[in-house]
Amino acid sequence: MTVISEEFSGEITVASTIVDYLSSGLYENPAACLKELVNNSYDADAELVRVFVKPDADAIVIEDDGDGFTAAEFRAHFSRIARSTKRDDSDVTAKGRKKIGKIGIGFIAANEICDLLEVHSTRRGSTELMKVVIDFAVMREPAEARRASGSEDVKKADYRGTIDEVGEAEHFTRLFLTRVRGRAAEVLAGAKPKSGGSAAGSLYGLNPASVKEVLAGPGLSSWSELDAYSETRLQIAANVPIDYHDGFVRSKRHLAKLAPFVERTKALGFRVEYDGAEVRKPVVFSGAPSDSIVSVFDREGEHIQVSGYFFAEHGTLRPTELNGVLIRIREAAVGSWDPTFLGFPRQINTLFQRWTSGEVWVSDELEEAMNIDRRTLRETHPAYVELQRIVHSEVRDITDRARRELYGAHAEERRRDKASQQSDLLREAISDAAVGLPKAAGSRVERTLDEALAHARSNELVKRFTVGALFELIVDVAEEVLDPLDRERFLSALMARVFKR
Amino acid sequence: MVTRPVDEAMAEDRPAKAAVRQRWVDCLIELDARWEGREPLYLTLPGAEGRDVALAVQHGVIALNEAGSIAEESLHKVVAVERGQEAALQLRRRFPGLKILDQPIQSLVRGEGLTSYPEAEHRVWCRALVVNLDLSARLEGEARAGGISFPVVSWIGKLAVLHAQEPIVPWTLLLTMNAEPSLAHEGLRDIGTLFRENISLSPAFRERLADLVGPTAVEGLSTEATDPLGGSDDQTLRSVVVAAIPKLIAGVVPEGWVMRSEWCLRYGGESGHAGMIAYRFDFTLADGNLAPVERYKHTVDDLLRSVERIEEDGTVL
Repeated sequence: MTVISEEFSGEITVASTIVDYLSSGLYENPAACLKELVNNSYDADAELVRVFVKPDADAIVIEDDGDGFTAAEFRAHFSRIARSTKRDDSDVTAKGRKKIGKIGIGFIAANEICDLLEVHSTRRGSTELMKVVIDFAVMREPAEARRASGSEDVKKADYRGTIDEVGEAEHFTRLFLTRVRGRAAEVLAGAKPKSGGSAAGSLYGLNPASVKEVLAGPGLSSWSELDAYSETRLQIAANVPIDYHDGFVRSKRHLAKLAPFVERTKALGFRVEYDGAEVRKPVVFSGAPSDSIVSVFDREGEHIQVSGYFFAEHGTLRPTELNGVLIRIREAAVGSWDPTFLGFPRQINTLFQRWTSGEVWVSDELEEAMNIDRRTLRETHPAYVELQRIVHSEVRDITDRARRELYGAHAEERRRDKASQQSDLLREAISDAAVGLPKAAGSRVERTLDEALAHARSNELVKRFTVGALFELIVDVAEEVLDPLDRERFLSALMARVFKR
Repeated sequence: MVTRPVDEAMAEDRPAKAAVRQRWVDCLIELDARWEGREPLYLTLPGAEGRDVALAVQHGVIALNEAGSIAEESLHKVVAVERGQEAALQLRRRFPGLKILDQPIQSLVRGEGLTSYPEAEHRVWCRALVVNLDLSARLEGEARAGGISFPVVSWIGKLAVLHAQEPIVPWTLLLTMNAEPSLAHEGLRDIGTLFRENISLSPAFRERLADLVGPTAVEGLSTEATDPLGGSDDQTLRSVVVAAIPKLIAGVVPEGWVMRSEWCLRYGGESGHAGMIAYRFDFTLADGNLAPVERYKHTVDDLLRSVERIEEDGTVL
């Protein structure tokens, strides 16, 4: 018999150090950091964000014409990370945008790019111009050394600021990232691809129309063939809520179907300029109208509401970054296009999965399933499970259609072309072989063969004809219409002609 | 928008200043023709408006791409030295892609000390073929042991040293300064003394100086009068400053250079505008066959050549 000598209970808590860990090294690349800052501007109801990176990314500037904030708001929002008040009053901005940021962690994304961040901001309707300098150097020290005495809080950065006066009509936020860290500067301004070698091109200084041309060009297999600067720019553009390229799909019919998504982003009225050039979503499908299909869906689940589209074109989708599904919550992307389509079975329509791209807008409930890095989702969350089910069903449909409407139609066409070529070659050979026959016998052979082939075509038999099968047909015709001597002469000539070929 | 007095001064588009800018762009066009891309073409202090950069763009010296940002081939052709985030941002908006060093020029050249020089990327920028120091400052001297030191002149001396490093880069200095006399009388007397050796060395210099400050003052300088510039009016004192600046620069550039005064434009000094002076100095390699004193004489002979005046309406006299 077991005797209970002592019982115990308690609560499991999380030390703030964990928040420190979670808020460090969050972002996989400089693009992921910059898009956080751009999305902050979106949350501030900005209409235009300008990003300046070139020529060397030794200083990066991000400025917006958003609502701005005061020194008091700065302290309230940012002096204690993860106690964000971004959605305390409302989770929707005055312009009606659903706020992307949640816990205020995006702001310190800058620390992964630079050691010093200077913020100038003035709130709409205020004459206060706040200037604050945040020194992230402290973050490079061990967490233990940064723990505030008598507190569980861990210091992330030091800041010092001033308050000046400015005209009431002004409202903006300007971020000046200086002492940019070496690798980040290399990537952000990089004139070479990240993997080295020479770049297939750069998007620097190109207007949207030219960018669209580059992305739709047959030579570009992957964004990574461009310089690192361009790849970064495309990654940011994929994430933030900006417009699509005009005519991003070649088919007017497809464009009409996708119009709700185009209108949806246009209505947000949010633009980003990158070194003076307007940036658009890097979604450009170059497939010919007859070689592509689109499906649009709007599904109401038990936990989530999902709308989106899938696009498939004949052949492996290029640039390959577009292959997969991109999930958007509150207009911002979660990571990049997932080529597994949230784990869709690889063995089903394997070939056609590579032909497919899609974007899916999911209702806020999925936010709970989003990890703090904003690029992955928790696969066990009910909202994710439901999303997965819906996405898989749509992927199944579009890839089935791709097999049927794109691949099937092409296969039919290819078979017909091949049979027609073979038939032409044989006809030519028959004509040559018939030259040695008496004129009437030769004409008889050709006429009978014409009839036989016409009959075969009308019965769709020609699609299954091999050269051997056609040759048998010819032998049958020769036996039927020629006497033995002519038959021998004709078939010998035909054999010689065919084998010579 | 928060603006600084220096930006307002830079932004002012007086015809006289526009005429000076035109000379700058003429110089850029000339040097662009022989620019090989090893060093930057142009280092400038453009102010937040960047009017000289705009002019260089307009004349095709700096290329833009279709989005209006600095074209790839011009990205490292020009560098703007501009202190202050807001001013630099204004420049970035006008010329996305423009290389901007957010620091004062004195910090770029590492001050006046002769032991500290810019390194790495900063050294590269300082070796531009054309350095345009558009300063609204007066010629201020600092009393040092052994005489007066002029910070601006020291920076230029350091730039000359940097250009003299291998591979040597012949270069042009465009210098604009406030010509209002600000030196204490003591300082002016020291400058007067400096002229004395040049007056005896170069008759050409003596003649040009006399044109500028008047024969009486030159006579006083050459006869070692105790206070040759005493009692001079403002106009004469301005002329002394105009003559002093090239003389001081010639004294700090390394021996291997011959400094040629291509033009010197005076403007302002009336209608409430400060008197200003703009120079173009070309630094070329000295003829190795000449003795140092001969090389120096060549420089001094040339110092006050072609001093012109620009009227308020922009006419060059």
